[in-house]
Amino acid sequence: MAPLEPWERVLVSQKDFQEDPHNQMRCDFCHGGMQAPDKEDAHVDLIADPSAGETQVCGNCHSVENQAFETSLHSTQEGYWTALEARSAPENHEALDTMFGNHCSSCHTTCGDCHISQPNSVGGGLISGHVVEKTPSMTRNCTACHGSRVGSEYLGKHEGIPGDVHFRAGRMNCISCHAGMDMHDSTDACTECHTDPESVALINSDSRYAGAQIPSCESCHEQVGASGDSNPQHMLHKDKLSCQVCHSVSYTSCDGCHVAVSEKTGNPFFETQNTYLNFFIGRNPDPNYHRPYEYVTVRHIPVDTESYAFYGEDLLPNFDALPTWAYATPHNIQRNTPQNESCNSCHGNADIFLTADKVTLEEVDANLDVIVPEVPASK
Amino acid sequence: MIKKVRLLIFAFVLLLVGCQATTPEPVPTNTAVPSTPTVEPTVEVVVVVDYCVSCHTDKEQLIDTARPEEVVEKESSGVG
Repeated sequence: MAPLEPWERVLVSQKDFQEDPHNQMRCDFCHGGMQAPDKEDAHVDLIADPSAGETQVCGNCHSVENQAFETSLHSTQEGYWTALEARSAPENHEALDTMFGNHCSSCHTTCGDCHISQPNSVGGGLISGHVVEKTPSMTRNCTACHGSRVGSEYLGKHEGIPGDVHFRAGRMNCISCHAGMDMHDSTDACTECHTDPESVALINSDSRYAGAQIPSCESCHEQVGASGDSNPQHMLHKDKLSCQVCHSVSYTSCDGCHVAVSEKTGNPFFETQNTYLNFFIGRNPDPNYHRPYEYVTVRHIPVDTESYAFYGEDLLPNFDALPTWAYATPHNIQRNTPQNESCNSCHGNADIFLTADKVTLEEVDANLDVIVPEVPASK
Repeated sequence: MIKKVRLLIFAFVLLLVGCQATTPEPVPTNTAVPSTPTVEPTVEVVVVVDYCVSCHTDKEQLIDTARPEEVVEKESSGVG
């Protein structure tokens, strides 16, 4: 996405913003600063993003959303720490905390990053002349961050690979499946009803693939796997395969992301060594109530033992605690795919299974839970 | 007969005179009334300039006052 010009980023549309209820407040109510004809004077103590940090003015009126958002993954980025803590040791957390602050935390999201501006990670800038949009823009908000994998897959940006059928045929945007409450609140909505300890533990699990599927494909495709489903493959495979195993096509994997701070400029930067498309079926490393599948699609994530070496030696001593071929839910769903053409497109076809020979030697131990030891026999 | 008519007219006139208002007509006086200047109703218009809005809705002004941006050398490589 091309960055906006400096003036473009802060140009308020008087016509459009006048009709926005938020226009009833003076600018300085949210942004601080002061009334002055001179730019420098006016910008003294200016708060560029009032929804960030301690000010969080949005919560003055939107207290329910604000309170829920504090613990949501968009705000806490807890997923990063789940992986970092699993692979590291407590004595390394301080160094990793510095690394996190320099690199990962730039993806932290505020109310404004979704409802008013483009995220800072893509240069920021008002989207609709400061109109507060109830529904974020799919391309300027959602895939501005979730672009390199989900966005490119969903929108069909990889040559020769069609976009997701829900986009191509259904014209569905992200919000069609990932509703506002899911964005604001990662778990609380579920635990309001599911109050028994076992359910709460499942919902609040550290793994994104342990809790309830929100949304699940069956939320809309209710007939799949239900009695009367005319597709026998659904009945045969429904609890053995995640939907993506049959209905997704090649997706992005990455290798070797390393982060550091530039000696030249003092700015944090990253290098990702390889990015490529593939499709592999692996074993589900953590079958559970919500995802009982034996097989799931897996993609290679760019972590390696030296990813954070700039911040210290051997910061990931438990590197093998998590797979580097991670359970994935590719966003390029198709009705017909190469692997669902016939039984033997999949059965006996070692090319599409993550067998040990496809894993680098140094990563085999980390991936023992996902490597397929024996490809299902041909029919 | 004529006498009776005259008497009746006299009595009628007397009656009318008796019923006339007794309030004396106001007499113009020379008492000076303090003169007050004629005050035209006025509306005090206070023009409040919202400098934030006036600048941030003016594309040309934003271009003119934009601080030159440092060209930051891109040091990251690969897919983020």
